[in-house]
Amino acid sequence: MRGFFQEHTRLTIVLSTVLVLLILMVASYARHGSNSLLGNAIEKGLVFLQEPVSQAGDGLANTLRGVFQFRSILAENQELLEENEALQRELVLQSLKAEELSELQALSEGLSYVSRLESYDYLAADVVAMDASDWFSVFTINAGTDRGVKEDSTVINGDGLVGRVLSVGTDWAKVISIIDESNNISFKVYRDMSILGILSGTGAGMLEGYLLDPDASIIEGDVLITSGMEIYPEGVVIGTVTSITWDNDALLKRVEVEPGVFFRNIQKVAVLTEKSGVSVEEAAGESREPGGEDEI
Amino acid sequence: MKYRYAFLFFSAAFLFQSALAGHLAVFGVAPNLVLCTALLFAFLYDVKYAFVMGVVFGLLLDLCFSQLAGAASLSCLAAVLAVSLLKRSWARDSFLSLFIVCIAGTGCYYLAYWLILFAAAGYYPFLSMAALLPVLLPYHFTVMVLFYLAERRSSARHPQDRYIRGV
Repeated sequence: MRGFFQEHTRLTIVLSTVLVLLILMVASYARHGSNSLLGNAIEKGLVFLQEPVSQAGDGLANTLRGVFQFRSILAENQELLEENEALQRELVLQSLKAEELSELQALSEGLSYVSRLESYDYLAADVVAMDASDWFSVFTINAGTDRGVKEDSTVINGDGLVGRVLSVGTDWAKVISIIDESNNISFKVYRDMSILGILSGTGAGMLEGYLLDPDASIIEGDVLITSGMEIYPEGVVIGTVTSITWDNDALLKRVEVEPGVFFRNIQKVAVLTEKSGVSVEEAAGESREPGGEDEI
Repeated sequence: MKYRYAFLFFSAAFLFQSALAGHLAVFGVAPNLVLCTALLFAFLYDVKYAFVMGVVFGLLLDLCFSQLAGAASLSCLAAVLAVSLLKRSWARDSFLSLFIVCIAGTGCYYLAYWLILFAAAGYYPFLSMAALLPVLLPYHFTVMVLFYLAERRSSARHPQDRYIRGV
């Protein structure tokens, strides 16, 4: 046996390498992808190199876009100006209701009510590295524990829910997006908040799931938001329903959802971090609503 | 070719792939530059450079973007071994050879990657993987041709006459 390995050196090396990689794979599967200390150190070094390259690429892409898409940018600018004028007019109308709003706010402060979303700070971060394989939909951002990011922190952008923090270092964090197959999200329908369900990624850039109530009336085009029953806070847009089918085997209504976020090219995201001095659990515990269960 | 030059090429490929994936994407598909570099090195030079660097940078890709360490490394290893077997019978320098290497290597890599994920990490649709290939193959071939045109003069004086034994 020993002679065989000595005579076939290259084969021995290949087999040893395959064995080591298989052991690594089993270990990472058991740890659910959590990095070791060595892995975190390597990731920190990689982010240090990837960040300037990513920023240079973004700068160059934006410059080229400005040169080759000048006309469309002009048209977009005109649309934004018109939208701004309309919003200005609406602002005047809304200011007439400001007094009514201040009375409501005084009432909520008097009842010590704190909204869950008010207990979060929004931390902006840049995407410095992205997965080109399209399967895990994992990317790296340049914000870490030094800015208050924790594991399982929610990541969003202007279009909706992006994902959660998978692992975090001092100045970097690995984010797994909602379209990854292993992510499950509980949702409710924006049109009718009583309709609940569970979604997960299809591995092909879409989301699919089912409704908890098979008789619920959901239609194509309905906007789905997070229910707040898990790590994601309530009210963040997930996506839009594109198709509804009846599953005869499970006797459930299945939905296919197009995510609100365009995952092919994310450049900037916001991480929800807990406000200093106010934790999400404290905010939920301090909330007092008239006629609530505590007052039975 | 020495290991340090191979390391430089693979490092550049890894950085461009990870940091610029969004900008390099065509029809939403970004090229796997580490794989392209591994296939080129396996075909143009000694397979050991592609073997070592492919495994190392595959592990880096898994560390950065995967929950399963070793998947990209094993897949890269499979692709490099496929190319080395191909070189035993087809070692003539030409664009046709490069095209065949591209198809065989890319197909091997993504098939191995899908098999590993299917076995270990859950269900990933085969059709979703296969749907990437019509865009990936021309993209990878373009990248490999550009590198081949740049390196051809330094790799051999008479490319048509070079016969290289595989592993």
